[in-house]
Amino acid sequence: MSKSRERALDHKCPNCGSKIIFVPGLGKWKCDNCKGEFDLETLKKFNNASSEENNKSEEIIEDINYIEYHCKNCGAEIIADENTASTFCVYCGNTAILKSKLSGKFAPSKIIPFKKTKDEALEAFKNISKGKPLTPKFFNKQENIEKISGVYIPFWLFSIESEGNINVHATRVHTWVSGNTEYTKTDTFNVNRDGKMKYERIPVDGSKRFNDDLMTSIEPFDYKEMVDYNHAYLSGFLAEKYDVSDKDSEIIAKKRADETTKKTLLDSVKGYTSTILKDSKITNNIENVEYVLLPVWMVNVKYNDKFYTYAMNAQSGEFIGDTPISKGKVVLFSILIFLAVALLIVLFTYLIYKGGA
Amino acid sequence: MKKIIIFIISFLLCIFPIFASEYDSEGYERNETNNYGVNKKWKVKDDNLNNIINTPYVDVSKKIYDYADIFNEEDENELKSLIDGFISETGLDFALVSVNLPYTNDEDYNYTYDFYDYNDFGLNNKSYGGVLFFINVYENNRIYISSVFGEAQLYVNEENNDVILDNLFDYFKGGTYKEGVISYIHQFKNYYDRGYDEDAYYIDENGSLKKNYSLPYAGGIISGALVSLLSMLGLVKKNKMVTKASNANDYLVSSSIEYLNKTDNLVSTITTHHIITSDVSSVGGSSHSGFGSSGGGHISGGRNF
Repeated sequence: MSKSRERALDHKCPNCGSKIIFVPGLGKWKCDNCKGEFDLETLKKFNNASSEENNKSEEIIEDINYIEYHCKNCGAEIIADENTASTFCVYCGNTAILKSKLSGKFAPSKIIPFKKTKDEALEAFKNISKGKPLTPKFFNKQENIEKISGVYIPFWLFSIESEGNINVHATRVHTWVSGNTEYTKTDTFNVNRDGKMKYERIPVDGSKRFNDDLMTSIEPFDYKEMVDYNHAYLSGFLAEKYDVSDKDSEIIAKKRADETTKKTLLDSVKGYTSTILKDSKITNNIENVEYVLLPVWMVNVKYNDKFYTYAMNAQSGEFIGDTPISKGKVVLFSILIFLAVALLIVLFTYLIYKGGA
Repeated sequence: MKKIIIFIISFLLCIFPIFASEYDSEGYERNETNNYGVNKKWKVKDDNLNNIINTPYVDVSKKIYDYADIFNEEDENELKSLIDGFISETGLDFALVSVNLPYTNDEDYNYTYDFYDYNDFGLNNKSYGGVLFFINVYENNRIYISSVFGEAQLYVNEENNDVILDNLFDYFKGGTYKEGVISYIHQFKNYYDRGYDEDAYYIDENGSLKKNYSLPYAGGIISGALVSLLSMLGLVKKNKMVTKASNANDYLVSSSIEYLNKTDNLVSTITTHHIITSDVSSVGGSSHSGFGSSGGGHISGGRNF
């Protein structure tokens, strides 16, 4: 196990020097002490935000298991794992950004700032039971939340040009009657479709720590709100650096493009009674790869000694996660539905009987 | 003595017209004093009076009313003997009617209902149970009809009646009416011998066949369990929100879709054909339940031949 010592970066209020954090919804940085609000340009002016140059400066990262760093605010020594790019000082609560983790080859090109607040994430969790009658009664209580964190998750965005061809066995059936004879004509076709299409920014989660299915479930993100990356956006949030390379991630993006290309070509085979896909060949070429940070509220819940993880798309508000099922409610609802249906059938048949009678 | 003989002759001459007035050329006469010959519980009303008056008022002991004259005396005797046997064994009444009238199918059916209801057939049974077999040999619309009344419907329902009618088709198409009627009697008797489920059916006060209500245990349990299971699967699925993304539909640039080749080559054409067979049961009317102008229920069906 090896160690490296680094300096943590934090953000100070240009007015009073207190710590400032990015406020989702407001879209600005705010000082809790003097109540000052600052935009990115102001922070840059006071040299309190990163610039494009220092984002791109190459730094060599050692192969390490954890990092010891010193809080710039209180000087405390804090340990973080090798993938943590932004965290908090456990002693003074100051945001600590490990700049080196998001620099050089780990420097994201873009970021979508947090739009949904922690309170909105909490509210979404409280509403998790709505429309889910099998959820245990007290599951959505705030006391069950172990941890709620705003995390910038590393994503690879793949732009792909896809080209493919499909071969389809299709039939067209026509039936008509002449006199007392019914005729059925079946035309069989060999159908080919060649085509190409483009995909823009298919996201693939670049962190092993987060469940891939959970991350794809909170899609899509609106890339129109994506801005150039700046360390300043990380204040007040956790951040991760990627630990799955773009090469490893592109397999997932290509597989998704593959499916859609095949379906798009198949959808163009129209006017037939039946179609069977016999053969297909799809080629996907990566045209562009972007490394970006996307905002997610992670909510960790402990209920009956089991842990449940929820993710909220901090841009759209989509709140996703598997919810436990109460066995008691399953039994209760099964019995109630069974009795209701059985009673309805008895009532229905009796009314038919009475009507007939 | 002479006065007594004159008195007796005068008396007979006086009462003869009374007897004579009750018989027309084919049977009795219907008038207000005899409630138009309706001795069953059916009400004589303005809307059915015409039907009643136009229905022959017959001697129900004859059983065979061969107005179309399609049976010779020997045939009639043979059939009468069979019909009497049927009546004594089943307790159900029986009437065989043949006509040669330019009727539509509906008129034929109504004739059978009125003929049975407004004469004293089945009067010994609680629900006037019996059967009327009708043949109209009018050349443009030949039909035979089996109408089942009262308790007889417990033995021959709509489905059974259709089976019997279909089995008779060749007899009537071939003009062998007597054999057709004999077959009818035998088939009906067969169904009678099979009996019926006393818990399942009954005859109501109007003479209609009704099903007894029984709790649908099996249907209720199976449907309840099935709906409950499907509902639970649906509800459980609601709690499973995490799904695997398998496509990239959201990221496809629709304006970029370009088809480089679209070919649809015809490989083969196969044409098959089959002859549409006409269903004999659909010609003349499948058996159905209904009411005559009397308000009495029955099951009735027929076949044109």
